[in-house]
Amino acid sequence: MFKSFSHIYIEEAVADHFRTKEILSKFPNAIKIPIRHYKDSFNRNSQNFRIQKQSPKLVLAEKKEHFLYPGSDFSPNFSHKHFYYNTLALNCIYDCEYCYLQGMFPSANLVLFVNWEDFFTETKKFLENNGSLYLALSYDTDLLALESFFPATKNWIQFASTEPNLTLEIRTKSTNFQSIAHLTPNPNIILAWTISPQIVIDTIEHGTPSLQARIKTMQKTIEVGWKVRVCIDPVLRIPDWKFHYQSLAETLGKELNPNGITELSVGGFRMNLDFLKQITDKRKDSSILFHPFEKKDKIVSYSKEETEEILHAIVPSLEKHFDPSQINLSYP
Amino acid sequence: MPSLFFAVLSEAKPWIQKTNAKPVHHSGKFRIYKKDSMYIIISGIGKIAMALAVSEFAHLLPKEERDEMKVWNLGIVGSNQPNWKVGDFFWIHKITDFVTGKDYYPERMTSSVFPMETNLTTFDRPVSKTKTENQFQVFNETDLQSVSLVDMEGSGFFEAASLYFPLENISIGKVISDHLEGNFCKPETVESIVTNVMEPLFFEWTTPLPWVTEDPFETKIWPDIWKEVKELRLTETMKHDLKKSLRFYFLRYPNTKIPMPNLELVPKIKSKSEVKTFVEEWKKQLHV
Repeated sequence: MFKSFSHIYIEEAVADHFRTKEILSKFPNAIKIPIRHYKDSFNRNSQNFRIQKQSPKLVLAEKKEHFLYPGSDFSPNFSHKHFYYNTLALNCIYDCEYCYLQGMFPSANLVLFVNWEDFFTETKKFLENNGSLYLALSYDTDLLALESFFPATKNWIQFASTEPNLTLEIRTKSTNFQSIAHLTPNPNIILAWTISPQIVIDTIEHGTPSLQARIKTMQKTIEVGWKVRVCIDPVLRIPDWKFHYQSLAETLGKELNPNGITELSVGGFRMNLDFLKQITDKRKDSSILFHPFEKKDKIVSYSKEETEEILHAIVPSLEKHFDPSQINLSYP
Repeated sequence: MPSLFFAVLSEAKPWIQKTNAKPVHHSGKFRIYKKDSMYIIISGIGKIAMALAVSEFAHLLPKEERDEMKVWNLGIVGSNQPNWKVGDFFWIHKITDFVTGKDYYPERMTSSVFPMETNLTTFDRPVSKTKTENQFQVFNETDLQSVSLVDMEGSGFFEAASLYFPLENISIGKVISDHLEGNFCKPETVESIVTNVMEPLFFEWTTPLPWVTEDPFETKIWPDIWKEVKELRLTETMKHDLKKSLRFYFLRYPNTKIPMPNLELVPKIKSKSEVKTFVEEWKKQLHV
């Protein structure tokens, strides 16, 4: 099969955009295909997400509306009044079996919106009207993982340095901190790493960096003064999950400076019911998706008893090494 | 399990000869040739004819076969690119229907010994750059500036095929026969052009799709288990949930035999509540 990004679909409206040209320069051998609108390709029915994931294409597009979305109830707002997210990119280069994008999008191809200036403008308007904003940047993607050809993280950090009332959360599994290491740490920026036991990384989080690599990256980030959030989320009830997650807590306690951790966020697997149905219709190879989840208000999650068991197993292990005030539940 | 659609016999003839395919006798309008699980279909000229041929063929097959079928359209095209030569082969990654203005995007998933790709424009009539005695639609260079290759079937093929077959299984390949001089191509010339690219394409056509793999749970395990328990007369919801639980166990413990309940009890179960209890107890054994 073709390698990733062997083909790049380019919206005609942004064909001459400087950022489009910058991105294309990173893929000199890619076949370029003009399109009128990214949805003409991305939104087609009957695409096979699983097969596309083996050979994803790139789509360069212009975002025309919906530059900010209210934050999801599935994600913590960390007590911020105005919790929103944006979508600079759709989809991710990683392939985690539990990822909701498989159910949310009809295509696995990676869409990159190049008109960041419009995002900046709309964000400024929101700040002017509302006074503050907690913005999750890397919601439907992993931006830091794309930084080598889509340097959104760097640019948004620079933008945030001009907006003191803007707080950014940048969620990632990537170890590509080097791309932003030259930037001055900003107290309004929270770099949030998803952390999982190595066996979860090996068997479920396909294509992602190792646990040690992520921890090493977090430690570097802390050392130079960035705010870091550790997200043990989603917790997955794999065989011997208690052992693996308690071992993870021990590892984090030994290798991370607790004083540098803004928060440790813990939460069990959860998803929109419709998304899960979409995913399991296509993906028959992941046992975690066939768990008998509890269903309530169109949300699936572990049962109350299972969730309590998760918290009782993990939180005390974390409290051995971190202040309890640092530990938060990302989803009740 | 590949299938191959052509517009005219002269395009298909080299492939029919190579595969030793024989005509399929059916009540439909279109010519279908078959050898083992290989199919060659001749639609006639035009996007509507091609779309109808795809539809007719699809209705001959159960969905399970369609989902695993490689579906190609090959044929000759006119080229608007003077630097491309007669006999050059291209895979198509974008089709524009000239009349409707609609675009289609056959997604390229597998690489090929033929690396060149381009876009295709489908017209309702033969196209020419110069006026001739033939009733071709004449365009000047300006009209054709975004046009690369020209045919009369591509958009119809893809639109119909995408209704019946998985998108990733569909490919379109075209070989240049002319540069829009306004002349019809002789059948023997078409055969020669097609023959020259056939050998490597045949190999690719007959190579199985890399993503078509057997799901042993679906093909063996579940049917065997269902045979044992269908007497319970489960509701569709119960059946669905049980199947999910069985798959969970199968995936989590691939080297362990799936635990079964006491099947001797099955004939003795009479009430709905007993069925429910029986299944729920079984599911508890599966989710460990």
